[in-house]
Amino acid sequence: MYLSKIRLVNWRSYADQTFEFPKPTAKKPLVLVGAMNGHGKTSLLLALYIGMYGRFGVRYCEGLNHAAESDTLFYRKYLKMFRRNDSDQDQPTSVELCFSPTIHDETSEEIRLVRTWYFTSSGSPKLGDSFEELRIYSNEKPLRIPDVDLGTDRLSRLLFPAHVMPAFFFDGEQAQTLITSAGTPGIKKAIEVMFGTKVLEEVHQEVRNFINLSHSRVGGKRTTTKLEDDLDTKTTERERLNKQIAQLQQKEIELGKLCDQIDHERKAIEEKISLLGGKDGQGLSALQERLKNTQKRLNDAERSIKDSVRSLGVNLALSRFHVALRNRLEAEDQRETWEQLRKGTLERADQVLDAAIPEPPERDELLGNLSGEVRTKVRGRFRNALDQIYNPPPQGCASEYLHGHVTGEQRKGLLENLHRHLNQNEDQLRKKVQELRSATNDYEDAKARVDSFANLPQALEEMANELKRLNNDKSEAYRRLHQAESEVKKLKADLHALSAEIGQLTEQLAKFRPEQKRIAVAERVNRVLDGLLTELKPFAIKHLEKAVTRHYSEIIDQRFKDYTISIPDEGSPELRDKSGKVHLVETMSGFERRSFGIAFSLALAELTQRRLPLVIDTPLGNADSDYRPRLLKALTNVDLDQIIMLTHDEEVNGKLLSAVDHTVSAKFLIKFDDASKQSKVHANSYFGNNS
Amino acid sequence: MNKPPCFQEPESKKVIKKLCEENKIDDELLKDLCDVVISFSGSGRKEGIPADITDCIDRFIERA
Repeated sequence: MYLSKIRLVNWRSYADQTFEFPKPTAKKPLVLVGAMNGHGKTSLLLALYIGMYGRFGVRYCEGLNHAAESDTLFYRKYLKMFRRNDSDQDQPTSVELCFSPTIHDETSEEIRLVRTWYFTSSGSPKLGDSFEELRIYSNEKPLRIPDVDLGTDRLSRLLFPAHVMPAFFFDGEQAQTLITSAGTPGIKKAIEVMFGTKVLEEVHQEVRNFINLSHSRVGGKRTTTKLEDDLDTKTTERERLNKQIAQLQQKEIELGKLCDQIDHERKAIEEKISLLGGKDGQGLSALQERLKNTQKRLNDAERSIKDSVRSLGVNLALSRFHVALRNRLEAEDQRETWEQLRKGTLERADQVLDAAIPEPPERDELLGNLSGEVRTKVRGRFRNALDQIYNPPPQGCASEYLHGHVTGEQRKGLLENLHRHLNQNEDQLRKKVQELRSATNDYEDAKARVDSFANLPQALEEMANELKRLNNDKSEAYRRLHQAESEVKKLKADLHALSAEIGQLTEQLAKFRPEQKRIAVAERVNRVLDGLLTELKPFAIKHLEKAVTRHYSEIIDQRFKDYTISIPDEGSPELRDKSGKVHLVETMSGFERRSFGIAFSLALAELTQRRLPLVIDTPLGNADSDYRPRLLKALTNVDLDQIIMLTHDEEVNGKLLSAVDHTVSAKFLIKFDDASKQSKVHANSYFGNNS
Repeated sequence: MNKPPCFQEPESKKVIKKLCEENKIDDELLKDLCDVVISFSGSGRKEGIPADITDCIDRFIERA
């Protein structure tokens, strides 16, 4: 927000003057108000404090008495001083201030306030409360306020709290007094208010009141609390019972498993006994009979297998030569086929020769004229040629007969029989081996049983003891299982009864349910606020220290550039150098203290995160030529919408003015007119020009 | 209505968020309650505060 209007009527040296400030822009936030000493600068600053907050403003106004308990008394005294001496006695004194929203707070309302003071003919404020009147307008709509104090309180909500003012409206020459006059408790209080913790404290109080009121509405805190306590106790008891039942049920399962295991072990022992021949009444004689039978079976099997093995020798021998014999027989079979073909051909050779060389020669028209000797030679050659067809014999054909006694179909039958016989013997032998194995097993089993009778008394005694132990274990396990089951049953009955009681309590509480819910939420809010008020205060101090250090380092000379500032719980703020050495701000030079005060004010302004107008009276004062540009730069760099500087002619002029002129949105010059004895405001004027 | 600065400052917002989560409320409820206190400040009608707090809490219960 920015200050858009200040109207002062019968205020100090002002008869009726108005400042109207244009809406600032980001590039032109600066307003210069020039006045020589005693012409009305400080009156303007005072008007802001007293106009805004009346008697509460006195507390924060530099140079005035700060004793809070005597606000009212001093307020009247100061008002008499603030009234213009030459005022018409019927005319009241008033301060009108208007705060308008900027681009940063467009949703806010324009707040205009007019604080008016009425005086007696002697120039003193009127008696009682009627001497003061406050009117507040929100967007020109008047707000209803019961009395001035409550109206002032309302203003602190609509605009900013009174504690904030020293951070935004201050006299540069007196800035350092903030260190000592406010004191650490005052600074902390300011932080509480600026950071919102004051509002949170009030919320805390109201929420506590609300909780008490709500408890009384639902029949008193004691009644509902007792019901809730009972419900809590019983709910806890129910949870405990549920856990106990779950544990017992787990125990039941484990005991059930134990019983099963014992049964399993008993069965195993019974089986052992049965294997000893006891359980089924199988006697020793029956076992011996069985042994005898199995022994006979074993002997038969052994004998049979010996025979088989014996014949297996022939079979094995046969099988060994089986392939060679088969190949031999096949080769001989092939030879037999070849010989038959050759023989057949040769047998038909005469017929062929007769056809080729017919006899007698007279029938042979072609070769009949050959001599008998030649014809005989030709026939011999022809016969030899026929014989060459079958020589040599085909490959694989036997060269001679080793098994010449076996021929033709007989040979083929022999091969088939040989093959079948071998296979049959293998199957029979395999079966006999199986039979031998089975007979051996049966025999050994029967023999073991018969042998076991030799140790039967001792084994039986051991098993009987084991069975006895298992029976005892089983009884114990079943006893515990039944005990657990009955405990579960009893607990479930208790749980049922408890659930019924919880139901009744819940129904009773349900009557108060909405209010109870609200109380529960309010209690939670209460806890949050407890925590917040504890955690935010030191947090705010830490931020303030950082911000002061930063602003101070911008203003101060190189010697203090790396210093950090801390605000101790008690005592004055401290500067700490790199080595950790502490320097008290109080012991520094005047302008260093003043710079600290300005840095502190700017830090407070920053910490509030409020965009209030910054109004500084004589910001540079008597600063030297090194400090002045640094301080002016630090002030104009503050991220706020409007910066109003109240300066005398030696502060912002010449080169300094040229350096900041482009950021100036408006200039005013206040001149005290000796003739009319009043300060007059000249808009668009400043020292040395009338721009 | 202007909220207290601690609702805007990033680090204090974290503190508020953490405490609200721990106690199962939202910061909206806190802001509403601040609004109530601020709006009644200076009005001279403080007897209306419990009713407005009830409204705030009921709105919270509804949205929770």
